[in-house]
Amino acid sequence: MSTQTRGTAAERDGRPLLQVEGLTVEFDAREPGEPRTVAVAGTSWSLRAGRVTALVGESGSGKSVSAMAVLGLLPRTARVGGSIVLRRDGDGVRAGDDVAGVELVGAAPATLRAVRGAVVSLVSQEPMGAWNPVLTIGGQVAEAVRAHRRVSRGETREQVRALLLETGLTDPDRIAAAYPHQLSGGQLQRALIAMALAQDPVAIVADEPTTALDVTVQAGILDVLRRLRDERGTATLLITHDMGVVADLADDVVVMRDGHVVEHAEARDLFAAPRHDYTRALLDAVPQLGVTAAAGGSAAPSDPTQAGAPAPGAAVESPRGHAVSADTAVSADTAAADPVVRLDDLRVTYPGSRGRPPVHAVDGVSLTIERGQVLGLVGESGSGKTTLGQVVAGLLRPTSGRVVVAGTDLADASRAGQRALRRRTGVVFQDPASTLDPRWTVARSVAEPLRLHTDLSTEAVRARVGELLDAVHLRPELADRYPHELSGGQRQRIAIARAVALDPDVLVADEPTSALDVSVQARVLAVFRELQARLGFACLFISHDLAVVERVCDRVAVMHAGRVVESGTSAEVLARPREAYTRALIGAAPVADPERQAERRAARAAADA
Amino acid sequence: MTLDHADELVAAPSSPGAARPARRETWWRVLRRDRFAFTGLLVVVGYVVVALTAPLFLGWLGVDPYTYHLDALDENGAPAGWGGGISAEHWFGVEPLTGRDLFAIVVMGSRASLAVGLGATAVAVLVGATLGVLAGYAGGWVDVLVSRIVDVLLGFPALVFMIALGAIIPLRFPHSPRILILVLVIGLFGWTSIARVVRAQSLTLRSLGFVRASRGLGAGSGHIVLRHVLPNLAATVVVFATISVPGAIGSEAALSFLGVGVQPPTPSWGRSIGDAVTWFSSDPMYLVFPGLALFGITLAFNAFGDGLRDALDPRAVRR
Repeated sequence: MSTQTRGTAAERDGRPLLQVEGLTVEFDAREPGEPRTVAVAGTSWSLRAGRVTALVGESGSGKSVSAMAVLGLLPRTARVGGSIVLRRDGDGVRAGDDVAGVELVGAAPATLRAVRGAVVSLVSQEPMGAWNPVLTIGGQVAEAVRAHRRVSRGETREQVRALLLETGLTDPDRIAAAYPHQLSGGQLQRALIAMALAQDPVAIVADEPTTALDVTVQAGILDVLRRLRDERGTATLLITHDMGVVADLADDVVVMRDGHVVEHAEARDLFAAPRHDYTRALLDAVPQLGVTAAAGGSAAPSDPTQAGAPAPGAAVESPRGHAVSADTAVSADTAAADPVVRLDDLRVTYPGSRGRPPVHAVDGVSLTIERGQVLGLVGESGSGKTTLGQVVAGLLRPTSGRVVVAGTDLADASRAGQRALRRRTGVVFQDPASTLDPRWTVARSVAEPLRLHTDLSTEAVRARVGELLDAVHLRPELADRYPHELSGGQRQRIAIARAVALDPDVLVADEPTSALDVSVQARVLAVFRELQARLGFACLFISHDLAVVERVCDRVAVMHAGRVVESGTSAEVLARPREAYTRALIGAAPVADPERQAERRAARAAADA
Repeated sequence: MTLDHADELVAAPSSPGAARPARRETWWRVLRRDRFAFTGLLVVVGYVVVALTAPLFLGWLGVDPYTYHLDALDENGAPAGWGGGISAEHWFGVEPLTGRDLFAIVVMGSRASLAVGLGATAVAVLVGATLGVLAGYAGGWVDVLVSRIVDVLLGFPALVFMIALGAIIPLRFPHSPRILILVLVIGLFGWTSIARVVRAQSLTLRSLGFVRASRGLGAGSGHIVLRHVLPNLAATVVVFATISVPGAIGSEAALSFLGVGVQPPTPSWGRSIGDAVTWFSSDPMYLVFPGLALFGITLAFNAFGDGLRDALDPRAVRR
């Protein structure tokens, strides 16, 4: 194998390995008569050996479609135009030949099949879904090794071992014998890269390779991709929406928007001096640790007494004014003194199934949220933060421990008491696709809490819905739309409007923006902060994104394996973390700045060594 | 304090009808425009009207399903003449051996068949959807119990049991109406598959954001099941129901064929089809006409059900 020499040779002559010229992709209209959807409108870019080219853009920008066009994996309804030329000498077939190469647009299926895997390989987004659950990892990698050539059994086993080792899996024999469900997401993604390398491809297409992973795991995967570039000279097409990942790995960046390339530059230049407005907007929208607070962007009030008082001239007023007044007046008095949420040695244990030990999802957590305060709960997947949120929202009964929300002890409360409590708590969930009932209009969804807990007239409900939509900066016409007609950001804002409809004391927001594009996330967070300042509810804000938490939260609690390992004000915890785990979390989150990212990487490597 | 402010807001942007575009289409309008589905609905309605008015209708035409016309038969007992004895007098020909008017038998037979088909489906859907939602939404021991009952019933030789019941019940309760027995027997054995599907969907729905959000808002189980879960199950249930109507008519046919369903001389499609099987080589039209009637209602129900599902779903592409 000429793995080592190939990269240097290709770099020397400087010609691109893959040249995309005027690529267009259109999709057939779903109904005859409608115009075709243009996904990619004439883009040109190239892939070079030993370099990582990042296609960056928000959802719908055409970045994934471009990559799938390269691999010839688009659905039948797609019409591809333009040219994608793969240079042939790169794979050693016709070394030194000056023939332009293979045209992939309109190529025969057999040609594309020969290219896929052997020349260009794909690492897809969802590591769990990419594996066949009933076959071992080793078996599936071996299948890829033997896909295009005949290899003996023993040799295959050796190759699988070597590939798994190369992707940083230190225990290749155990991994090879394991089934997908027995491995973690990071291990699966590494093995997936190993499989992509099985044919010794000259290029890898990595489609959002780390989106589904935790930051600490993400850092490892990015390291693997970087090593492939440096050691094998693999050309990498990185598709991502995450500017931090781009800064960490990319050499060249292609910024896409609505099927067009808006900017194409070297990563260093792009981050240092973005030329296009959209690139600038995209970079500005990325929340960065330590930046927002300094710029005075944090509007979240830290003084609970101030936050508790409604802002003058607020458009959103409590519906309690004409619903129930005596009851809330009492609770307001008591709540002013006590924290709105108090958790005391909270434990949630799921019984282990079939002889496995029980899972301690939340393992002795005590924390409080003052009135008008936003507490950020951060941690990686499986740390128990969502479980904790469900307990506070009253959706899950704790195994033991005390939960006091707005002066009511959840354990003591009667059914009616719990119901009454829920009108003072609001919930916002992560997935904008399922947060609204697809068969309900927006108005009906927003009005649901009003209909459940108040006896307002139809007119009054309608008016209140209008106010709430206005409060989250949505046009009143949206009231009669159905969720599928809205964008993810709009849906999430409607979910927020529904959650605050009854002017709750406590809001539980579980990753409310993590499924959204950065620019949309910025708007939703702005709406959230504005509402919080105006209505003064206390909030448990669950997120894995430290920068987002810094933007909206007064205090932060870091969860790890069911316990709170560190808590304090946002400034304290995020700027001067005491715990090693917090430091690791902060260190692993990529920053949208290649220079700083390189420094951080070096620091991390030094710390590891 | 808030009322004045609120009133202002009502008046301006969201006064009913004024600022908003034309009212959203109702499911009925959508269904109206789906020609295939609407034709299906018309055919179903036509069948039901004919079945309800069968005695009047046949009386008006001057035929009835009970009178023997031995003159219309040949010496072997088969209908004389072309196509099973089709003539101006007997539109669908006559029944072999008896010479009764086949048109009258098919029309009159729709009463028993539709009653059993619709009735048994109603029972099956009611039981299946209720238990399915209960199992899927409540979970726990309810789920275990319902799922085990479904397993047992699915593993049961249902037809044998139905035959046995169909034979025993009339002996124990001589005056019970045969149709009602058929409805209950077929319905109570036919709910298992719908319960399974509904259970699985309820399980999925239970974990979706809007259901959890609703619970978080303090909604009771009743509200969630009625307002969120059931409407989202509607498509499944509607399609299942329209598919099971022909199935239930088929079961009626099977039971009547085996002699434990509708008793002679009451006509039913199932009994006619059952009898016709033995005459198929000499008199194929005896099988064709009741068969066509069954085929027609099956097709109509499926077309209607498909269209209704689309019409009920706001996400479906509007044509």
